[in-house]
Amino acid sequence: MNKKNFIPYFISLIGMFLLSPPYFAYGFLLLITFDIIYSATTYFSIYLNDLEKKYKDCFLLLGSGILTIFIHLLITFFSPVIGNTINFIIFLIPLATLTFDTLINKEVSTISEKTVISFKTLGYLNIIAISFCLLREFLAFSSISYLTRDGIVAVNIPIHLFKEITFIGSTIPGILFISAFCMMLIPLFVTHKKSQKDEESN
Amino acid sequence: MEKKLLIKIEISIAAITVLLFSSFLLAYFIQDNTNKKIIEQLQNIVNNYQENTYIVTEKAPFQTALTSIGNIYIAEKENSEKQSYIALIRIMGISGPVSAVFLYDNNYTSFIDFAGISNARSYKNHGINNSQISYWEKTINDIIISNTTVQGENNE
Repeated sequence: MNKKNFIPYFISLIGMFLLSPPYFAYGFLLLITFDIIYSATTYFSIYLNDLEKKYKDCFLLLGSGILTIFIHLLITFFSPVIGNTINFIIFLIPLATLTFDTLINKEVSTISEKTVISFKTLGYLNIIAISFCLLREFLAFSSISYLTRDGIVAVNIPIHLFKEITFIGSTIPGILFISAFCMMLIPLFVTHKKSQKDEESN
Repeated sequence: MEKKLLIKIEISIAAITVLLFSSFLLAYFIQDNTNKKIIEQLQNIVNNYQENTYIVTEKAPFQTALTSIGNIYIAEKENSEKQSYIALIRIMGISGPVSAVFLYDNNYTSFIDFAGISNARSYKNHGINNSQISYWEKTINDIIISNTTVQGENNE
């Protein structure tokens, strides 16, 4: 992921969080699930590197899909209500990881490079996702929420800031506005060092 | 080279199959625990609505298409022969999905509360509007009435 090609990464990432409820706890849970599935998919993709691409993608989607079902069951075991609420959103994650795998394969030339770049990208994606979810809940309800077995519990700031524009952070169309705002900001931070290196090499 | 690839494919298929079967096993083993936990939570919600009136006992044995989005549970009402029911349904609103709880009592279904969200501010009832709630009230009412009448006929 660099300045030039970050948009497909960003859109695939936001696609997962767009439909989730506007509380940080749900975003955090989805992010942990995403991290596990992304890591598994990366290693599985490296293992099946010699296979033709269309068959490999089939295997990856099947494997990550079943892994998602397994993780969803674990979440349901931890808290049935949370499991019921995020039941269909969680199945967007295998699609997103497959997109990331395809995008990263275009960037790398050797297998050894792939592990490094994949996990570097994962680090960036984690930072973006956590700040996105925090910003979203803070903008919507001026609160932060955490997970318990009975569902989520929110810790509210006594004063509800931005009360007039709650709809921006809390509704799905409003989140698109935040996404557009993030898209403007991210190029300022992402892989700044790499671009300097590029300039030096040029 | 080809043989190596074949072995890799075989191992992958085996791994996926093992994961699939372990999912089935996990689903089977967590069933009771999940039901117990949901019943406990529903009991709390119902107690907040009307204290010491309903006792949530078990999952209703209805065969409906609802199982993918929620479940219906039996609630016994004190001093009443007729059974009441409690439904936990996932509804998709403009703020994303939420789990809503409905109570069926005496041929009438009403919305009680949202489950799994405590102490949180929300945008217009978690993005769920009144027409969605009345749609689900009517649907759950129809499902329970049709199932209970069929069961009654079978018993006779």
